[in-house]
Amino acid sequence: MDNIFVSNLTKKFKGFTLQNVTFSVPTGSIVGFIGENGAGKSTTIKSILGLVQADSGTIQVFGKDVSKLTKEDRNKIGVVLGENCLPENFNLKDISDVMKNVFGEWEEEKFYRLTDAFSLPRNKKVKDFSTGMRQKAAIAVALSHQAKALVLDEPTSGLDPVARDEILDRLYDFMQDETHSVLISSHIVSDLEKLCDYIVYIHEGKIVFAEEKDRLKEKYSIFRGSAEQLSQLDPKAVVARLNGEFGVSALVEKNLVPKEFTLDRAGIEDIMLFFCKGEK
Amino acid sequence: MIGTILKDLKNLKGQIIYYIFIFTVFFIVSALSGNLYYSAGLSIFFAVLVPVSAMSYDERDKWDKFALASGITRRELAFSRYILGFAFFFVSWGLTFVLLAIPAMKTFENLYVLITYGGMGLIVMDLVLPIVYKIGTEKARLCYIFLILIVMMLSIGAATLIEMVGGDPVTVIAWSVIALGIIGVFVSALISLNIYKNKDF
Repeated sequence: MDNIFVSNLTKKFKGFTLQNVTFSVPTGSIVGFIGENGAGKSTTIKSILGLVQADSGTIQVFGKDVSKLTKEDRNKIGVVLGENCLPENFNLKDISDVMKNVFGEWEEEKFYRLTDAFSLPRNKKVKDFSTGMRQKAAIAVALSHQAKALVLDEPTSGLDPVARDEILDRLYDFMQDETHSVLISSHIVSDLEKLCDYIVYIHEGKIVFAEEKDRLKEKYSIFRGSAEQLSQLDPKAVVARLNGEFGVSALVEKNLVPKEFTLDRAGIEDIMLFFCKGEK
Repeated sequence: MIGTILKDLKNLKGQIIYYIFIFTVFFIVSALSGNLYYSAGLSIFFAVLVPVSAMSYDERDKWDKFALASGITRRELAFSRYILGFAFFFVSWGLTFVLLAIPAMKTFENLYVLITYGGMGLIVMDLVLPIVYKIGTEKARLCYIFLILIVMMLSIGAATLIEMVGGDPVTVIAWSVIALGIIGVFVSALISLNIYKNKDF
């Protein structure tokens, strides 16, 4: 069962097209959504949330078409949308007072517990919060209304490692319930590498891969050597190559490379880089 | 809807004190001068100023994105600004009627100036809100300042006309203006909803 399912999503803008985007966010899993700036991550997320109307394709949330979601269904989605969407004139009490009337199952106690755990001052207004504090407040809201799925667009951008770690810890807690799931986009691939079960990579509006993180790591390795050495490999094994001053490096399919070749471990960031910049 | 209105009221909390202060000053000036144009004219400003201020905060806070993603409908968002505008407009306009209790002010002219101004307040709101929904508060700023100036001139013109002409024609004009304002609300709200339904955030 998928909490979020996107199939052949297409949306045309002037100078950019999101093309046949397809992936899913199964229950009980965290899906990392990666891609360069302007690759289409935010547009995809906005389409899932009904903020952008797709030209074609199917988007289902909790098994229902996104256009047919009721208020109660939408209340089950916790969102953090890049730049903070909480009113700047509000303090935490104001936020809680308003959210009580926005979400049917607003958990005030949990909200204050989380904001206290994040050391957010209750009397300060959001406009006096640092970037990290704003993101934490937004995460606290997303986690305080019985959401089943979290859709987080760059929730850790601009945060120091300690603040990022605090947020990631809360996401781990959220995932203790197996019916929950998270779709998270981030530029900080190392965070996603720690957190995610699946990685979806979007490049120039198209999905390059949508795979289990462990499978990606099992599948790919990095070859470093001379062009001559690389030419000895089965061309099918070479996914993409980068030519450097002192040799070449290539993303290769591990199981197609003979054992005598020494390969380096490929991280998600490496894989993304080769798919994005490498020559085929 | 309650959440959205509550959010607006909390957002405007600081300004509401100034609105009350300004209205009190205008109300007293009207009472002392025996001329209710001041107080009634201010209600025309409130009909636009309050919802547009709320929308400008929402644009800054990107509230609409969050609200829509959280289950508030486009219809609720579009209509909530009308409700907010009405609330402030009707309170200030309604309170101006209190001035008619002063015997010296209980005149035919004052009553019909008040009715005409009420219609004008509604018409301005009917015109401004769809424009702001379409192009945003920043771009619409010039537009609605210009519109309010036109309405002010029309208001002065209407007041002068009422004083000069009097009688049945004035009654017809006053009720026509208010009827236009009321009908306009429905048309305007539908246009705003249509704009909002097709908007990408």
